[in-house]
Amino acid sequence: MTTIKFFLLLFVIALCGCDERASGPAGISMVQSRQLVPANTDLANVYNRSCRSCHTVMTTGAPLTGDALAWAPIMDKGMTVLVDNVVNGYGGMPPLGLCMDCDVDQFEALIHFMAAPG
Amino acid sequence: MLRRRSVLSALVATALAAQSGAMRTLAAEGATQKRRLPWRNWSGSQQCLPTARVAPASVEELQALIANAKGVIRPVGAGHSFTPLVPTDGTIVSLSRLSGLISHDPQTLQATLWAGSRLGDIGQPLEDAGQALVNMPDIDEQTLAGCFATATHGTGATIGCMSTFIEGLQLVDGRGEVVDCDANTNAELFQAARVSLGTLGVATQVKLQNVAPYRLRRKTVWRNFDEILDIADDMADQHRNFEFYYIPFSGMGFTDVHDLTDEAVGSTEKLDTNDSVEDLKMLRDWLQWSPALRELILSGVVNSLSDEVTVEGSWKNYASERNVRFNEMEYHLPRELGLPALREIRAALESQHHEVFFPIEVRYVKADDIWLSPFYQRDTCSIAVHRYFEEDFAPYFKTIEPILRKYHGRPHWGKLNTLGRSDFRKLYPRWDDFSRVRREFDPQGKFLNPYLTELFG
Repeated sequence: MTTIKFFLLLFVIALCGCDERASGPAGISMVQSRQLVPANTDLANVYNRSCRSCHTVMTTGAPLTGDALAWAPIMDKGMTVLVDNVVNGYGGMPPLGLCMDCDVDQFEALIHFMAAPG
Repeated sequence: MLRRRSVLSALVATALAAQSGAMRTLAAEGATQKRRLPWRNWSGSQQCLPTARVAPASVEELQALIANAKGVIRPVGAGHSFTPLVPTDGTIVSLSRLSGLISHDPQTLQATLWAGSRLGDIGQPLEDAGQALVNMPDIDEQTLAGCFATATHGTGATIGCMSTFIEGLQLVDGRGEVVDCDANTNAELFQAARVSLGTLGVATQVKLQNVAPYRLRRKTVWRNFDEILDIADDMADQHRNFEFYYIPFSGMGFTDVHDLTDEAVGSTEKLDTNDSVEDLKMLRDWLQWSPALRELILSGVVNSLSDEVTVEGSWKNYASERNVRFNEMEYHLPRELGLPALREIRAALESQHHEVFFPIEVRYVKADDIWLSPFYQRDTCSIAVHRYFEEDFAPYFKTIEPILRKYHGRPHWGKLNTLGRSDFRKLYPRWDDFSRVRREFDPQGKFLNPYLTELFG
């Protein structure tokens, strides 16, 4: 019985420790992030369709658009790796970031836009 | 404890990195071949390296594309189908640039929308126009065209699948011609096109019968499994929308109902379902060796959870965000056979598949008369099983599928199954009629990839 209580306690503590998943550095607020849109109209359309719903909401775990602090270590991986991550899906982000027709240039432009300081 | 979770996180990260390395090969290959990129579905279980991925900006562009195409053309929505409906080495057509509300009629409460519209993007424009969808699924990333092609559904014993809301359709067929259909014009095409797997043409516009905007009260209650089975049929009849989930190895689940309300918008504290799935996974990792202990702990934790109530506008109160990816199999059973089947599924799961942690989902859908609808002429109880996207779904689904088939289930068109043409012909009385209409509008088989050729070629 003692073992069972121990495991139960262990699990409850684990559930309480969920805030490890909370978002990391936030150099920008969600309100500020939501105001950012690419200047290029076509890119803005793609961004609004495919990126904005997650990359402007902190609880999704996705780095916020314009949060250069959060994006810095991600950009260190290099653009090839980042584009591959988009194409293959990464964590909660589905493959192609839900943009079924984007090409490499568009993915790179979107990443650069989101990683730039807001 | 936190350190232990960190170790787990590190292991998961390592696995992800390993997978990403393997996948990079595919992307890199794409880069060397004139920067061709692979296509993958939401879970990553389907993939291909198409010659082209295009998004026409107009119906005329789409017509030219189809008329001049040499290879296979497959339309893609949000990539949420787990079956190989999309993969092709030909052309993948996205309707992402053909989206939004086109027109609406305040008298009939009908609206015409571009078929590439995503469900999550049309709630507000429809509300602004004084309309709302009759029902919605539990995710809203899908496009309208994708929903209709696969008979996507929400839950509600008195509500049909999404395709039953269609009053009229426009598509560009395999000859590159624009064709309109409704109950009176091209009536056979209308019967076929409302659920077509995207094999008749590429849908461009859809006219929907909507309702006036409404508010829903959603209530989630945690219950014992046997209690759920005792009350499920009554709850399905008493509530506008009713579904329930069973948490494997817990003896517990929860019921979820939506009812019309005038109450003020608001919500009690909500459990984060994505975090919950991760917690179920973690518990599986720790206690897979002891189902009894796993059930004791899980039921103890679940019993401590509070009921949840959310009051919101309809289109904000159906869908949940699914950040944890999975593969899924769902079969639609005659309503009266759903609960007996579920008992067998639970027994099989808990005796043979200790690796499973994703909940089983059970929903209700009203019968319809659409030729390839899995709800054709029968009220339905839908049972869905899932596996984490990085884990092999085959052994679990291989155990469960015979049970679902034994109870006369028809698989969801977008969800994993092993059925072939002869199986489907037995399940769908109008299969041959559909195939005849399909050949008429796509005489060259431009919309048939290998999977669809096997079914209709």
